[in-house]
Amino acid sequence: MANFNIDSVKERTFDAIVVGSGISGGWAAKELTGRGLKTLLLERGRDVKHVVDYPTTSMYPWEFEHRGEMPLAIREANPIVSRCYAFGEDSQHFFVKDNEHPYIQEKPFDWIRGYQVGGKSLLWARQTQRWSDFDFEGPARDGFAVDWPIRYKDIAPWYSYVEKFAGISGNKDGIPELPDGEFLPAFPLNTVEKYFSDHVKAKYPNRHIISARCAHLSKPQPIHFEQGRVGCQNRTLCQRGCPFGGYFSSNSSTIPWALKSGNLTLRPHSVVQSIIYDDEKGKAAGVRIIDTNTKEVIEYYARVIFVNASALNTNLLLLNSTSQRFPNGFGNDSGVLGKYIAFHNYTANVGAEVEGFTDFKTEGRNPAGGGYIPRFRNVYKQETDFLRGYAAGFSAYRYQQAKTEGVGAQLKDNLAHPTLSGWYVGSHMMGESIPKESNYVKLDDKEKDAWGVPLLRVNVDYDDNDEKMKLDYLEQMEEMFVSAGFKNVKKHVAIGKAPGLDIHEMGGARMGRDPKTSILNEWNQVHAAKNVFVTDGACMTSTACQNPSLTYMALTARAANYAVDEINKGNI
Amino acid sequence: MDRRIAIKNLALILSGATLFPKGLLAGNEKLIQLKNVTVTPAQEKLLANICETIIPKTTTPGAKDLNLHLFVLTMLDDCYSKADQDAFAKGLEQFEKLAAQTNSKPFALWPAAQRETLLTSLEQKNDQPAELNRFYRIVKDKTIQGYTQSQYFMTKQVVYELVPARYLVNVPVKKTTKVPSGKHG
Repeated sequence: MANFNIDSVKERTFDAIVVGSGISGGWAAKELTGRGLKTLLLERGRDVKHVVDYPTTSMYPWEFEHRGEMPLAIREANPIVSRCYAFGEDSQHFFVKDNEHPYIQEKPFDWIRGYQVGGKSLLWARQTQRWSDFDFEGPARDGFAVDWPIRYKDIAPWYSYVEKFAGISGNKDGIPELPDGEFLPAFPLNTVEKYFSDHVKAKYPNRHIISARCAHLSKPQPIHFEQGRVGCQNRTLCQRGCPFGGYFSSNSSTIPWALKSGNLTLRPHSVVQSIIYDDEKGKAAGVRIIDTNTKEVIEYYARVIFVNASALNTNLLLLNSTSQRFPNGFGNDSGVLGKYIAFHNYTANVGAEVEGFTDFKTEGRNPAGGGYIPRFRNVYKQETDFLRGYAAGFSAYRYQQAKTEGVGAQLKDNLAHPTLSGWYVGSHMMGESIPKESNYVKLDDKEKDAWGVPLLRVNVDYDDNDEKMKLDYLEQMEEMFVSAGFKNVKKHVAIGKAPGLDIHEMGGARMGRDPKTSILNEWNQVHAAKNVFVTDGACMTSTACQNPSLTYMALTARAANYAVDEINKGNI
Repeated sequence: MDRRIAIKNLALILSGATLFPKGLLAGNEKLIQLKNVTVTPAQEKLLANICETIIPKTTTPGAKDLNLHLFVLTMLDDCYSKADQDAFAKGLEQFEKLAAQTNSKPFALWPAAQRETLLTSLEQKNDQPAELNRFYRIVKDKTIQGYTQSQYFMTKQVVYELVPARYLVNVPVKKTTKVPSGKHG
């Protein structure tokens, strides 16, 4: 147990504590330390230092024993994480294996986790789009969840702030529903992507195919060199960790920056078990952690606490932080904590063959992945029998093909002389889902994990709205492909694909104006304990259909700077 | 100062090859201990000769030079299902019998043309037991994968770029592609 003498308490007292070092926790640490706060950054997993802890990053394909494929024994022992597209021989060390931290699935849910310094910021797909007021006003307009307590104008300057530092590539496309940002040059659309973009523009008003906006340094600026990062080298081996810092991660960017300030203490191997509530002061006093190496329980204290444990783990931590004041979980006066979990629907894609354009090809690799189709359904008005809409990825590609028939010298020669295939196109949907009370997480009342923390029970599922939206995506995409002259259009539905694999789970501690129906206020501050902020996916009132990380970053930077202002004013 | 960090990082990248020397060429490693599959030394030798028939040594390295049969066995042992492993074992025995019926000499001593004819007939006709077909399919697929993803092939034949450092679009495809000499065998 912790030693409670005065010196020890002093040593364990900071200005700020950040729980979790992933994409949002890294930002909290950077902002708080940058404003002069002595900050303790707690991470449940091991340390991963930029470059030196990326063991596979410079390996060639032939250096992997199974050429990237995961052995069957590992796949069978870990069916959940094995379903994640980024899980492979080159990246498996950054993923939580199924048996390492069990949870209870009341309904199938593939919970993908990265327990290490940097969290999933090492593994993310790096797609970064701003929200617009069509998204922030969604719940109020369409009558679901609760009204967002903020609007685009509240977050716009913070989008700019984080974009400049992280480095976002994109074009200024002038689309109101997908606001432009502070962009480095975009990665270009290729011949067929551009053709489709032009075709759709001419044929469908308010539908756009744009270069995907992504957190890659297409043209690094002084601020990026200052972080020790250089330009993206188009390796597209990002899930290994990038030795160039070509894409944004906590490891390459915010954490080293925070460490450089001299104000950061990074403590890996620290599972935060609960937030300590001080009844006298009427606010949080600190956190209780378990050192995963020594199993020692230690308390740390601070004036302000940022909870960035990843959406579901943040819910778990808040639910497990009970006190006389909060018997049902930290800040949970409203009873909505753990409820209104939502996600993105990734269950459909469409592919086709393209005739022509064979005089052109691409060279090198595109880290942006191709094109992006912003939401066009139900944007300006409700026009379908389902709520909200979907964005879609879109890309065109050719591949090298070699004749593999036969044996001997001729086969060898054929393999050495591959030819280019024709063009193919593919698209996948990213649908907004509607947060509902019946989609929830809660604590199991019996089973605990290796650190004595109750296991999380997950009860999250698709609904009729998701189903209708999926059919509409398939129909609209097929129509656009056919209209563009693409052949052999194939619609594909991922049958049995559980929620979770989108890795965009959100909500549970939602923001809102009314403490009776939400956990956090417009500054991501717990309504009932003003020195606790939640700025990861748990705070999301609704999901829109944009990839969420950029919004977490902006909300975090905004909240952290507000927190420091409030401290300086003596309000917290 | 900022650029120095960048240069330091680059130095780490460049030293990457020495940091991770593991399994450079499938080349001279000994047969690793298999966990799930049992093959006799004779079967292993036969497999090496089948692989060599698929990818023979010409003016450039062949399957034996690249130890492709060990790659086939590693993949079979680690990545295939029990059903496939069993079919492989049975199919290998069936192959031994078929070879003995075709020519009483050991497979290794057959003329290359005869070895090729036997494999080609397995590939083209579907008149053999299911296990033999499955065995051959696994050997063929993994031999091709092992070859095209070998260090030799990826540095000397169709070159793999670890660091492309570019993404270009609308690149014209040359109508007659002339491969520079020395790039292929």
